[in-house]
Amino acid sequence: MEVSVETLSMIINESDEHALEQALALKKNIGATVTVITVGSVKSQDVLQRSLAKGADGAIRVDGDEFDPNITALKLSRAIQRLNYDLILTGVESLDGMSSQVAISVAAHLQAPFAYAVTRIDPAGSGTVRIDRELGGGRYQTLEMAMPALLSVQSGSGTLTYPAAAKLVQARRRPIPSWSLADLGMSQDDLAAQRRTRIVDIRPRDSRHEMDWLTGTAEEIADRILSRIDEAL
Amino acid sequence: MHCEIVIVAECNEGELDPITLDLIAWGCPVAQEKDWAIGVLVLGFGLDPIIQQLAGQGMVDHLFAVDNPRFETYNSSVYVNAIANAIREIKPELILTAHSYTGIEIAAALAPLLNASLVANCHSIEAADDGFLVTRSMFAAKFVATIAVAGTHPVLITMSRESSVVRSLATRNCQLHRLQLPSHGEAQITVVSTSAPSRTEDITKAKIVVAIGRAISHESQIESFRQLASALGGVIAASRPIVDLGWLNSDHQVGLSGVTVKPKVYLALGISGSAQHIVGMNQSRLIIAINNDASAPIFQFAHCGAVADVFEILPVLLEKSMSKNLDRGTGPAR
Repeated sequence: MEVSVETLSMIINESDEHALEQALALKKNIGATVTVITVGSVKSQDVLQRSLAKGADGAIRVDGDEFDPNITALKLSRAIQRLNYDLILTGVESLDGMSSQVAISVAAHLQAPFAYAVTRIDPAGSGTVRIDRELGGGRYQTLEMAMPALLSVQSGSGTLTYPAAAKLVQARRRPIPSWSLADLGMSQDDLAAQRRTRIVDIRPRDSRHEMDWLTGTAEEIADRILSRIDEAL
Repeated sequence: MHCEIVIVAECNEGELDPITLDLIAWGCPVAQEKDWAIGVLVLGFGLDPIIQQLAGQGMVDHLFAVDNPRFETYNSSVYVNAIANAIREIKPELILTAHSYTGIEIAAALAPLLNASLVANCHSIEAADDGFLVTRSMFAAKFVATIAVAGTHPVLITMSRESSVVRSLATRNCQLHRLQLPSHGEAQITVVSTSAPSRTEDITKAKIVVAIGRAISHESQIESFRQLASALGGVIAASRPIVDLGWLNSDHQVGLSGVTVKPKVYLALGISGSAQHIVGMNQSRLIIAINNDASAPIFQFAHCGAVADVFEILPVLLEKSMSKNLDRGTGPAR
């Protein structure tokens, strides 16, 4: 079965947006050059331009929509290899793919240290960065990592900023470089050899149970809730 | 010591996370179908209790244990190298890990190192002629995709905590292998400190959980929800935003970053239902949701719900549950 992304609007994932905010905070606090990079068709250009409007210095689009995160990671790592960088920041999970794997696989391709679910970044100086990260289940770690490093930033309560309309108009005029497979030093055959997963079916989640919609006045809804609770206990 | 299926055990504070047993249960039918051996790889320090637990119950054919002080605390750069080395010796076709924060790191880093295909966050796995079929959520959990993954190269799967599997396992004759792995030079990461969960309050034992989310916009509003939880004989819990704001401590956080709860009743008030939250409450017996957005993902998982402003229902619900307690002559907190 073919899956089309035509009907989906391209939005930056909330967790990626938190990563961008962290990058912009580092730029503001210690001085940094921020480059935004994504893998996608020309439709994803809007996301990059929004990022420029928010304060990123440059943007790169690696051409081609990709459904297999294994391939996305490979392409991204090849692209990032061409750049000079100290930190790679990403979100924790994309809304569409929900696999959480691309970031860490990029780090592994680049042989860079990585941390997932990062909640605080503190450049410690002398080529290292100190971070706080979640381990899940209410556990936390503080790590010191050699740079360059990859940090998958947890979506937190940090506030998201919105670009001013004028900046957005300005950014939309900026051409975004698009890198082809050849630019990454790869061929379609290289990719085909790596393509080992295939979506065979995709369907709306079955509600596992009949949904009991409660309607009426607040009074009626509250009564129904309490009787459902009584039945369940 | 070739073994076709390897489960990477999930351990927290020296204890086996029960999701490891789910991973074994997912692996066993595949092992049966393909006539393969199944093993568990466990890393840590002072592993004897865990080894006894796993080998003693005879759940798997092989137990690969790496017991060394270097693995007492989780450090991705140390763990991944060691696991990759072990995998290169064991040469499995299929590797299963938990879709936890550490499991994600291990699997996603192993994939390029082993030239393996990774399919993450899966809800089920079965054997297919030329590989495996898995199911997983996509598009904000509104869709379920079935993915075929070819068995030409090693396959890595991370299994979601949401997956439910019957843990009925055949008894196997378990062989223990203690692996000595060479140290891998200097680690790129130094663990400065690791904190255990505070667990001053254990919300996992409650029969009723009253959970609040992003719709709550002022700390002062929390008291009424606390009163409701107490009037219902339950506990208060929250999704990430409330904990990040410091309005409740992390003991109360439900989801991947916090705890998993399976109460008789889960009342989700003003929670939209991010995938990270759903994982922590999806197995509750009865899920009741109130949210003003009819398209919120939480309604995909709720058994019973109302599209309404939480703050219109809350006062009525609170008053009624308190007066009910008075009628019964029971105190607020049971």
